[in-house]
Order: sequence, then structure tokens, then C-alpha cells
Amino acid sequence: MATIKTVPWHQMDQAIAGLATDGEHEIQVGREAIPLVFVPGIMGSRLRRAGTNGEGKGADGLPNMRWDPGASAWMFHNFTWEGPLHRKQMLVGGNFSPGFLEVDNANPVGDGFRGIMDDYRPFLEQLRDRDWGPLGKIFQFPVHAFGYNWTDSNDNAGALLAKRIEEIIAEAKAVTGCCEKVILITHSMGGIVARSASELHGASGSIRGIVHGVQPATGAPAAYWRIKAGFEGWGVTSGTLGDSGPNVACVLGNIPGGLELLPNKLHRTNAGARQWLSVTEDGQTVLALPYGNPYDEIYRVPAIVRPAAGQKPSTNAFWGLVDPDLLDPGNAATPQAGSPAADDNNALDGEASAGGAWAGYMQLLAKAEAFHDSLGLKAHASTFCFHGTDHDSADAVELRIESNWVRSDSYPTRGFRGFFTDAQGNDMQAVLQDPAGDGDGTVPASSGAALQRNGKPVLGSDHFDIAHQPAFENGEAQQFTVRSIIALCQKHYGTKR
Amino acid sequence: MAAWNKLLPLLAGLLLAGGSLAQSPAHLSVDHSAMTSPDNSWCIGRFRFSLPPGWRPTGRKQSIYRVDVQVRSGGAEALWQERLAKVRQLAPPPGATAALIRTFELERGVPAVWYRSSDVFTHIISLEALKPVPEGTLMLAREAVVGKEAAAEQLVKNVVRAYAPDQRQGFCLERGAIVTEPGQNEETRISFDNPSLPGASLSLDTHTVRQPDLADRGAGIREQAGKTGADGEQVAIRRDSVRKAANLEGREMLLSQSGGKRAPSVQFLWRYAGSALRADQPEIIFEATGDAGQGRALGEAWEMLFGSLRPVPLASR
Repeated sequence: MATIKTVPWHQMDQAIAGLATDGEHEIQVGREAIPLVFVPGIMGSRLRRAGTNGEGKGADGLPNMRWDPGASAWMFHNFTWEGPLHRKQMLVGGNFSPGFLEVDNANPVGDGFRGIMDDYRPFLEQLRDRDWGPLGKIFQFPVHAFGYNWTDSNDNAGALLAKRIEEIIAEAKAVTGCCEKVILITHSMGGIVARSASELHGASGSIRGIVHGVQPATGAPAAYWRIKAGFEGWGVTSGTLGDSGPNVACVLGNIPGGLELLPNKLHRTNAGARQWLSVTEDGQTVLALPYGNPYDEIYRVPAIVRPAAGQKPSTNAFWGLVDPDLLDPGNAATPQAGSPAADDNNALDGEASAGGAWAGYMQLLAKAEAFHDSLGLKAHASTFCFHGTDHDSADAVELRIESNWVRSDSYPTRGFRGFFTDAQGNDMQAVLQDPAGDGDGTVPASSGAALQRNGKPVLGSDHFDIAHQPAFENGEAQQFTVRSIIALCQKHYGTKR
Repeated sequence: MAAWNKLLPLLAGLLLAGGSLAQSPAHLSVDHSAMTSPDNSWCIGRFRFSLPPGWRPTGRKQSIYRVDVQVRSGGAEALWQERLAKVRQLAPPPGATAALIRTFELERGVPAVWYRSSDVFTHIISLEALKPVPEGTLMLAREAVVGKEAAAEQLVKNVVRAYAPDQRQGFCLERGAIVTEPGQNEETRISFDNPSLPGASLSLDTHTVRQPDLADRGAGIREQAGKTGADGEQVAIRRDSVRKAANLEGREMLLSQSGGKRAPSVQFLWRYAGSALRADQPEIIFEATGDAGQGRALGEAWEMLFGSLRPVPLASR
């Protein structure tokens, strides 16, 4: 009977010492595991109330499951049917806390597929079941998914990913005997999480390379557009994610994850301009921002969507990112001048909470800015990116001034109108225009390609006619990903041999 | 109540000696024992209603002027210690060494505690207070912005004083009510399950609105109906019509879901958009869900909820 000896794949052409000369030996190739870890985009992880199993309802009467995008009927009655207050209570609670929600993972996590939305599964199963040909003789590719609390900051998510990478390597090593590093495959905001893990949380040495798909590397003006007007498009997707400013601002304005998708200081339009927000009148630009810092010039400016009575011209900055009234939905009482009377409960209500939601937003914004500044365009040394084209996308945002005779609602479905008074005292409105740049419908080409412009290698064609959310359902994107994995393995092979 | 005066410094000392251990939600927890009704009729906020036997509450929340209020069974001293222990376990925000700020008497016989309720924000603090009442213990919680403590204390004090035992008028807490002027910010939620219908649930939500949202919330599902989702799931609309409850006109939808990885299910939905700043006409949402085989029993509960919903008189004293 032959004795079996396993030799690491990269030592197969070396002399094997210590074998007895009077027996049969079977030499097996010790394959190296290179786990493929998929990191989904914002809203791509299934979330539950922390500390629960995601079933039933909690003491507050709300479901313990809080976000399950693969279950359309569940999403309908928990989100599409509901307004801003319920949306905020489901995903933020009273005030944002990183520990409010957690991924609805199995325990132990296993491959992590349970924690992410179902739509990603076909591609991940395709990767898992793929015949890798000659590569499969020396490598094996277990496939994992890393769900994360996308309401939390990408900084925290990156720290957790760095930790999970070490766990996955240890698990693979226990099974195969050899695993050094993982390959990350990211979708959308997952790319920012992956770069956070790699560049800010010390995981780069455990990552063989990263394949980024449709990453908003410098942010996406679509995040501004959606906070003002809701998610574009028709049907249940827009309705579920929020089809109006009030339905979106109440969530994205109250979570670090949402704010970190905003265009950062490095964002440029597809034409290369720094100013991505403009107010125009009769084809002329009357305001273009930012000059330098979008946080100070746009995000920290309260959006006052109506003029003060009698002001001519009015000075209300309707173009600011967030209407303070939308951060705290359902609550109407406003503080009065001076101390309220001790028996006026509604006035006391307004007084006790005055400015609280805005102050919280400003604190989250400061964290987002610090995170953006520290990450910049840092990327893993072995990075491949693809991005989408041929879909109308917001690389820039335009508010077009028109005279206003009849409109009074600033927040129609999938729209925004900022009202103001001009120097002649006329009632005017600035109407948010539909996105018209090139990109994948969410991420403009300029942001999706920002890392390449920063010197990252291009692996054949790196842009395809793909829409943002189903990017990995596209054959060209799938082939790009596989090509990138093979390229990373070939590089590894070259360094080992 | 002199006992409170002796107890407070001791408890405060114990709390300050303890460190923050873990993050936990600061909201008042549910008390199932306090939510019983022999005829399965319920009174919450501005409404009362009945359900068939077998439906039991699983969660309940009510707030007026953004003060969370509930009546729990059990002794006040035990509940006070329980709450303080939970406060002690909270993680403070950056820069603070402990969650607890101070304990004091809001008024005679009403112990209260200020604490840092957020592990992120430094400008948010919370006040909790409780008072023994004939039905058990009245518990109150209110967040406030730092510097606005006086307004929050006055507000909570006013709500405590407005509590009327054994009342079903005003703002109903099941056992007693807050009898005072209507709030611009009122919110209630109560959810039920039924042991004979595993997995089924029924809930009622209300909250006052600044402006009613008249958007057609059913538009998206109408577009999706009949199509097959990514995981094979299909949603069908069985009912989609205008319907009144307590003389308030809303939209009712009955959906069924099949295919995909989940068992076939049914959902009953009804929404009334509300009237601006009207405590007696808040936005109202009913919802009932269950497996397809539970549709008949769910439908019976649904019809009883509709038929029995009544407004609670907006009494003021």
C-alpha cells in the first residue's frame, strides 16, 4: 500500500527528501486555498435588530428583521407601504448607533451567503462551481460573502472585514493546509469597505488583490439627488428604497453609510470639472459648487426650501443637501422664541428637542469627511476595476430656475423644487433635473474610473454597458472578474516559482 | 416616598462606581403581564378596538409629546433598580466616562435619572422617571438636547400629572390615560400574535403628521404584481380598494405571495394618510400577515379590527 505525501504546489519540482526506498509512494499536490470574498453594496446586506434572531417582532412592535431586499412582499409591506417615520425607526432607531442593527448571518457564519441579498447568489454560485482548469490543479477557490451593517460607517465595516479576512484564512488553512491571502470582489460601496479594510485597517497583507465593480471611488452625486428627490426609476424598487426626498433623507441623512456615498473632495464630473452642482437660469449658470469643499459649501448648508415671508430677493439655500425638517420625520413641534410656558406641552416638546437632529447630522458628517480624507484614492497594490456606461447618471446635478405660478410642494414623487423669491419679488422655483451624464445609472463614469486614473492597471476593457445594481449579472462583468482572478493567481504563481 | 430620598444617593453611588459594560437600547422594554384584556379589547392612544380570542400582544409603544409612556405591573422600587442597572450598562459617547449623569426626584415620589443614551452623539441625553400608580408603575422616558433639560423635565412632569387612573379617554395607555391637550407629536404601535396561528402577526400603528402624505403607496406593488422576482417570488393583489375604519377613509390592499424560497403568504394592509397636526386623525396603518393557510383566520381578525375600531374621546381636564 502506497504511503501518501502531500507536497505544496510550489515545491512540486523540488527533490522530495525522506522517502523510504523500499515502498510505494503517492505524492499529492497540496493545493493552496485562495478564498474569494464578495463584499456587496449599500443595502445589499440583510439586517436584523441586533441581539435578535430576526424572527417575529420586538418589544417596540416592529419586526426584528429590518432589511431583507430579496423578499419583495416583505419589503413591500415594511417599506413601500410605509412613510419616513417608519423607515427611520426600522433602519436608524431614535438616533444612529452602530450597534442598533447587525447582519442576519448564520451562527457560525459559514460562507456568509445568508447575510447578503439573494440577487448576488447566482454569480457567487457560478464562481463556486466553476471549473478553473489548470489553475484548479494548484489552487482552490472557496467563495464567501461578507455582509455588513451598511448603515454604519465604512470605516467600521472595513475594520470588521479586516477581522473576517483573518478568520476566513484561518478556516481555509485548517481545511487545506495552505492559505495565505484572499481575493476581494466588491460591488459599489463594498469597494469603499474593501479599501477601508486594506488601506486603513491593516488587511492589505492578507489580500492578494481586489476586483472592484462599479465603485463610487470619489462618491456619487446620485446620493445628493436621492436625498433631495428619492430614488429614480419607476416601480417597486424606487418605492421600496424611497421615492421622495422625505422617504430617503430620513434614512440616508441619519446614517454614516449613506453620507459616505456623497461626492467627496476628489470628485470630478465626467468632463473633469470640480463643480458638480449648479443652479441655472435661461441656460446660464448662476451658481456652481463646490469650489473646494462640498461638506462646507453644500452638505453643511441647511436646505431651506421656501423663502422667508417678505424677503426680496430671498436668501434661502434650497440647494443645501438636507432639509433639517426631514431628519426627524413625524415630529412637528417647533420651539418658540423665549422659554415656553410651563403648561404648553407642545411648545415644551419643541424646545426640548430643538436642533438635536441637525446637530446629530453634523456630527455624522464630520465623521464622513474625516473618513473620506483619510481614504482618499488609496487602493490595494493589486487592484482591478470595471465601471458601467451608457446609462443616464448623475455626474453633475442641475437645478433649473423657472417661474412658479402654481406649484407648492417641494417634494413630489421623484422630484424636488426649491422655492425662492427673485429681486423683483417674483415667486420662482428651481427644479431638480433628471440625471443626464454617462455611467451605470448610479455611479458616473468619472467616479467608477477614478482609481484607474490614479494609476491602477487596466485589464482589457474596463467599462461595459451595465446598470448599477445588477452589474454582476452581466456576462462581460463576470468575465472581467474571472480574468482578474486569473491574473492575480498568475502573478502569485510567478512570485512563488 | 421618603424611602426614595434615602435610596437615591445609595443607588447613584453604586452606579457611579460601576463602569459601562455594553450597549443596549435605552427604550422601555415591553411588559406582557401589563397587557391583558379579558375580552380582548384594547385601548391605545386615541383608539380602541377588539380582536377575536387567541390574539395576544407581543409589543406595544406609545408616546405623547415625544415622551414614551407606559404602565407596567410590578413594584416601582424594583422597576427603578432595573432601569438604573440598564443605564449603568450603557456605553457612553466619546469623551464621557459613564452613561449616568445624575439621579434626582422630578417631584415628590417621582424618582428620575438623566443619562447619556447615545454611544455616538454627545449632544443627546435622556430622562427617565417613574411613579407608582394604582394600576402598577407609570414609566416615562424623554430624550433632550443638552442644555434643554429644564424643558424636558417640565414636560415629563406635566405628563406625570396628567395621568388619570382607570380612564379610557384622552391618550390611552390601556390602564389609565394621559388626559391633557392633544399633542402635535403622538405615536402608538401595538402588535399581536396568535399561538394557534404560528408566524402570523397583526399590528396597528398611528402617528400624527405635519402634512398627510397622499402619495399612492400601492403604485409600486401594482406594477410588480404578476411578475416574477429574482428569486422566483410572485405577488398578486387580491383586494385594492377604498375602505373606512372609524369613519376615516383609507386604502385597503390584500396581497398574496407565492414562489421563491418562502412559504406562500397573505398580507392585509390598510392605510389612512391622516390630517395635519390632528391627534384624533393621525396616519394609521393596519397590517396582518400569515401563511396562505391562515388567510381565513387572519381575515376574521381583520374584519373585527375594522368593525370595532372607535376613537377615544379627546377629553381634556
